[in-house]
Amino acid sequence: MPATPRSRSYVAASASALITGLLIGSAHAGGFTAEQAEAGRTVYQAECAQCHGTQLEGPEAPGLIGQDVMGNWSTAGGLYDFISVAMPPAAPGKLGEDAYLNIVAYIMQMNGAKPGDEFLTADAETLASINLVDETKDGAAQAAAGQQVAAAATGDTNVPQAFTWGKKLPGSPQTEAADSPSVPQAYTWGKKLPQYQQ
Amino acid sequence: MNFDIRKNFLVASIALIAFAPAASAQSVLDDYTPVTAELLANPPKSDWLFWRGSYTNQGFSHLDQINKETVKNLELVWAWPMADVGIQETVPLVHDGVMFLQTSNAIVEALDAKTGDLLWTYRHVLPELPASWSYQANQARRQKASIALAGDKVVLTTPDAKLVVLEAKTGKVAWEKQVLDWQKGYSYTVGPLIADNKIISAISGCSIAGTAGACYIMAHDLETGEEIWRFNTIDDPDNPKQGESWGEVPPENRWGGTPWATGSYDPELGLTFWGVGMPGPYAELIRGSGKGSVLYTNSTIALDVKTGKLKWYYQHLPRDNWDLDSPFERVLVDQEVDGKVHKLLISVPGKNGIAFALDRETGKYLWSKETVKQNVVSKIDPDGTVHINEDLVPTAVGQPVFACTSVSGGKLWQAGAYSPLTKTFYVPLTEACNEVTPTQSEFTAGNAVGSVKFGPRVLPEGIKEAGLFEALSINPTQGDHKWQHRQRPTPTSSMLATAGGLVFGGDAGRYIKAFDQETGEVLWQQRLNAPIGGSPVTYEVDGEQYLVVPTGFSNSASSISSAFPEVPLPNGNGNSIFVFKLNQDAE
Repeated sequence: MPATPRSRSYVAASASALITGLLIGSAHAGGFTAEQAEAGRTVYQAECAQCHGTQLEGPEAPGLIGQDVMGNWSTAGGLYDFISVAMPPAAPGKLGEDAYLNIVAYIMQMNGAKPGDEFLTADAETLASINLVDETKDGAAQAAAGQQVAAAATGDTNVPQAFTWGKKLPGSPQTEAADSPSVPQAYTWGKKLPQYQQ
Repeated sequence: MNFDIRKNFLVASIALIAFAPAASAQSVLDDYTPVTAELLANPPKSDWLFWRGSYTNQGFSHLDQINKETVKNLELVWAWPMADVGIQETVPLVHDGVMFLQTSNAIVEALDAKTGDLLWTYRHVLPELPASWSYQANQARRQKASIALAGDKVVLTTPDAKLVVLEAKTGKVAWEKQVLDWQKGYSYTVGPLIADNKIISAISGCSIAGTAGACYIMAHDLETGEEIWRFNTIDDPDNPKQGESWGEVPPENRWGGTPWATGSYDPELGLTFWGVGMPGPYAELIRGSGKGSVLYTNSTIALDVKTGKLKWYYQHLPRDNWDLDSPFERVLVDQEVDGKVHKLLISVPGKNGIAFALDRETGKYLWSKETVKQNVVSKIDPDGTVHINEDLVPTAVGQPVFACTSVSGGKLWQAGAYSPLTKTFYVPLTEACNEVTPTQSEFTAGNAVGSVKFGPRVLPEGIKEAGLFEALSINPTQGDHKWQHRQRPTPTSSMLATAGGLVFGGDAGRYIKAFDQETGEVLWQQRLNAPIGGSPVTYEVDGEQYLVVPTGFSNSASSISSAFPEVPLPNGNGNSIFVFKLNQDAE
């Protein structure tokens, strides 16, 4: 269900705080440190949030949250190569290498990647080896769960339903099957496609 | 104290009643006359009734008070901040001295075109999208092109896929209709075309996952809203070739084909002409369509206005692998050569910037002409068959190719203008390339199915100026460069040609410029608050010609601002309009 902007921000903020709290100091790392992500938060909120949203939701510029967004950038290198040349539009490429790396770390963390001991550097090969979908997959699932926890914690959304809720009753309006696939996928989805070897 | 509440109440009521007529007595809306079918067919030169000024999409005005000699005397009359942020693509429409100004999120304001006074506001209430539907939310901020005027109504298409019809005098809703399901991802981003007593509209959002299998151009009855026909740009049961062109891919795994620009209309032929965008997913490797041409993506289609049946199609870019849409304005031009009238359709239809001319009765290819640097089309045969550069077709996930133009164009939504005075088509263009790399990702609700990673937009090798105002002289047998104005900041607005011998266009450097149609010389320019956006248009009130210039947030500026870092873009959004007229005391 659509949420109000306030509750949406609240839930997202709670979820990200939850992830951050849970994952700081984690042994398995997404290739960046918690300090980098925190520094990235400051730069992001100052330089990027005006268009990309304080929770990376857009909408003046494209949103930066989601497994498909991560998939389209493919690797940390894909994201870094783009933003370090083209962003922000008022000062493209001018924030400095550290700032761009920190922003990448922050975007990854906001998508559920785990900070660790490894420091993210501008080494092209290393950046290209960090797969965004893989690094954010578990965290994204946890974030979704975290949103449920956060929502439940507010105490006003997880309310009891009627005994007949979810059952087909005489005269019920036709509704779409709840267990149908949520959205259509590409014809090639799930098929093994050739992978590029450099 | 003797307080008579009824008496006081009565006095107050009378005051209120008296106020309303007094206010409306002063309003230019009192003299507003219906925009009849006759007016639409032959727009008065004082008005601007369409996205591109007339059914031809030429973007030409017959007004000539502002001309090569007088343009230097233009001065600001009034300005107005727009009601919402978002990408600035507006087109103010003007009739009987009333300006109808639309912004993103389907807000319409009526303004006194002479004074800049607000007359009424319509603010559409949109459903709240889930936070994760970021692509769809962003699309609502890409409110393209125009609204439409018809009779005593204003017709708009909304980001939640509705037709909304307003009373032109009050801004009140006359009726509205939910046309398609916004929850699947459908949204309108281009304005409707009023033709043959129908509202003809093209839906957007067809690259959002939930919209698989269908992207439509539709006709609804102008009076009742009843649907008369719809044409699906990616699934046409009447043409087996269309289905075959997608290879094994069934309709439920096809996306794209979005008609991103308002069509043109030839009443004599009874045909309406629309451009169709790219296929989704963007790369054929992910799409699964093999070497198929994936019709009717990147095509011009001619539809019978009464039935919606396809009369002909012509594909400008088969097998798109780079998100190089070809949906932009189709311009209708009649030229008499040796006593024979040639009915042309001219266009720079796609992001790759190649200009085309077709015979609009038959769809027959006449000629093409390259403008900006592009490498995706290798050859176009004399019969119009377009060959792509197969070296740029990725065959493995993660394989990068370097494509020119870039996903941001080349050409984009900013429309060109044709001047019958010079028989020349003036087109705003960008020199840019980018790396395109197919990816595999699971689609999610409210988000796009591109499955491609784009690199930053960069200048083509050896080119230092991203911006190009191109003047193409047009005839039935060829198009040729009349002049080219190259500059570092990119063009960011549509062009406007006038009978004053001028062609207006604006750029990322915040300049609105008036070029001499013949020579390309800049005769006047004015720097404003933000990149010039939308479509500058011109109109006349009480014998004086006005020029209105939209400014604001521009993707065509921000996507390639690294090519002109010496001209920093503003941090603010700045969506506004600026209205100019001649200083009559200047001479």
